[in-house]
Amino acid sequence: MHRLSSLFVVVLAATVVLTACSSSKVAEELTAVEIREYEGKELSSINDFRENSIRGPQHISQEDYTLEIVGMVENPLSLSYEQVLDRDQFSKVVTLHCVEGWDATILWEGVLIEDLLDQAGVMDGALVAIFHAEDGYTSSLPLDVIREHDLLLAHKMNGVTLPPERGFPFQVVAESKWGYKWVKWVTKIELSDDADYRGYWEERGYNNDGDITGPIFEDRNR
Amino acid sequence: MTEWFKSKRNIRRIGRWCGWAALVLFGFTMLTGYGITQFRIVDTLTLGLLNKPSAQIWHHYTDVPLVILTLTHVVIAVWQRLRGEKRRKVCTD
Repeated sequence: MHRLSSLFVVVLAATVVLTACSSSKVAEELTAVEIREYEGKELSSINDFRENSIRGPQHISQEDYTLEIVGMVENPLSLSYEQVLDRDQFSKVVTLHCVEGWDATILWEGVLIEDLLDQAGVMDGALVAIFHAEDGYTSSLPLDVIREHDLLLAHKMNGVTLPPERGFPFQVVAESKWGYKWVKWVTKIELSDDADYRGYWEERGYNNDGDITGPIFEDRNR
Repeated sequence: MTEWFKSKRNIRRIGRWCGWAALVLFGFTMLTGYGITQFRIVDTLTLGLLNKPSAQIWHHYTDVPLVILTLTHVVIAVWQRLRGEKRRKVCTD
């Protein structure tokens, strides 16, 4: 009886030790902490944004996601999330100015839109890139602006992967443009020669140029 | 025309009209404000008549008239009140 209880104690101790060892080997996923200051600049929080999308936050699965690059390109592409990220990464602090009157300064990290377009091969005569979102939202940017300002297709903000409410998997960082040009949940980039293409809000009255230094509304007399 | 404005009763009438107009305009300002921040709801409720850009344009135009109408209403109301008190004081004296 005494031997049996000793054996039981040994087995119990071994089980406890093994459990402790095995549990210590499992890597625990820590909660991502956002960066709030970068090179002396104070950053806004990723929660400082107002939810103002046309159909509410979109939930896109990373596994099923594809980014299409179509239209006036020599080599139409269909890239997975990993394939989009499989290129040089860039980061910069850019302030988003919303027409509603608020703004947010964020450290954006992503890939150059220009790099994606170059991989697809932009045809001569293409003037604008039309960004299509998962919810049906669209907006366009001239190719010159994309190249001049090194515009990013961001997948991280303040060091944290974009949450669904902020546009996971990718958001256009349309520097020096009003917020309605910053398309979230980008699923397709279409190249076109239609310089007058108007996206969702542009069609409803907002300025197609979208410059933060320019007028918010379209000049109807032009 | 100037005689009409000199009439105290008409001044009171202007004050009343300004008050009601300010109230209506205040409601409209609230609606256009919500038309910007809650555009999905307001756009649907107004059957697309008041979308976000148009709400923003209208909202921009309402602030100055709203201040003028409210101030006019308040100034006339206060003036009326002071006059009334003065008259009451004269009567009691």
